[in-house]
Amino acid sequence: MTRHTTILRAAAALPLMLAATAAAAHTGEGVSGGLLSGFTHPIFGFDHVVAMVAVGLWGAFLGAPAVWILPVVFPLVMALGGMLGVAGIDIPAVETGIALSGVILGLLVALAVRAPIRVAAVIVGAFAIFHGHAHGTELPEAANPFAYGVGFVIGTGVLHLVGIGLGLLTKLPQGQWIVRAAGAVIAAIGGAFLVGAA
Amino acid sequence: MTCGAVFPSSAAKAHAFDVGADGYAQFVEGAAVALEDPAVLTACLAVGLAAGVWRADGWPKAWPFFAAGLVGGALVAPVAPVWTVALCTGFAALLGALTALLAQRSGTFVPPAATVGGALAMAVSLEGHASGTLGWPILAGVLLTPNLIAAATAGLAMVSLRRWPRPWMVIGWRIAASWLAAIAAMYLAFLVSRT
Repeated sequence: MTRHTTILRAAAALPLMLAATAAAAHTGEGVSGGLLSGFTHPIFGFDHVVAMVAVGLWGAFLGAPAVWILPVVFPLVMALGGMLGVAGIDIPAVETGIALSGVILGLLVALAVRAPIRVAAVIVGAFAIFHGHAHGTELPEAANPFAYGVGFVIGTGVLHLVGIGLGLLTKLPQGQWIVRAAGAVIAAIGGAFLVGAA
Repeated sequence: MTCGAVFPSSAAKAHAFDVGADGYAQFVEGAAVALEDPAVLTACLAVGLAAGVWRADGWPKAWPFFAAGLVGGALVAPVAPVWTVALCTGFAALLGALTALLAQRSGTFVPPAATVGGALAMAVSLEGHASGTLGWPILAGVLLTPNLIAAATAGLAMVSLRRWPRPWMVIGWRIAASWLAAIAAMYLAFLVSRT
């Protein structure tokens, strides 16, 4: 098996992780409900999805050490935002920040911006606060909070892995353009959320 | 004052054990504490992760410190304040974050962290129970599971790093540590917000 084939298969496999879902009605209560609520919160929020995938894409695009620093930094800072949300501390313009994260991160990928790792970590961390705050404020009343936290952290991580998987396409001859096009699509979707069109 | 605001007093919620049950049931009840209490669970996972990622023989090196912490925690548990659970959760978040950021350069803090983690895990598990009021089956169960959780986590990390000594394997464990830190931080926020 050639290395290119391996990369293609790995890149294709990761997004398929999102395809299969259990058919189950849930009320968001208890441990299982909390886990499901938490997991689906970033997955079913397309404004979250595009930004999370963009983080993985940009990290893969920048290469080591960004490919691991960004997916490590993001959950940590996101948790800070989540703590603020759970504590009821308001952050202004959270939804605008979330939409803007899709636009900015998408453009960074589309324009192939190679920022220094510290700058990249700060940009990603800044947007992580908004995403975490949204997850924290939307914790269902009856849900098990620990299970909810497990769910949305893993859900976020899965999306990062999808982005990294897609980012592996940069290893292919035309892969850079595919990845940059994906960045442009993400920026467009983020823009749609920003202007209220989505 | 700040500590008082962060860790306000609340009703004691020590684990209530059924001391009238038979020995086996008591043992199972004690063993279940570490699995059912998010604070104890995340602390043990964090210690195991840190030890497993640290070095090839990380867990054997860290375990004596962890065991000493467990014993120390059992001794102070009768007088442990109710905010010990928040302290334990915060410790798990901090250790997870340090492991994520430092990984195999975490040598200086893993042994003392194992001691602190063991102490906090046991203090939370036995919080409020006076010495001599719990039977040995319960104590055996309470002592056993934290060791199993930390050892299994460390073992998984050590075996995988030995089997696939690649950069991406270390990256994977760093990401797992960051996830654990994030989960513990969120739970800490919930604990503090509901008091």
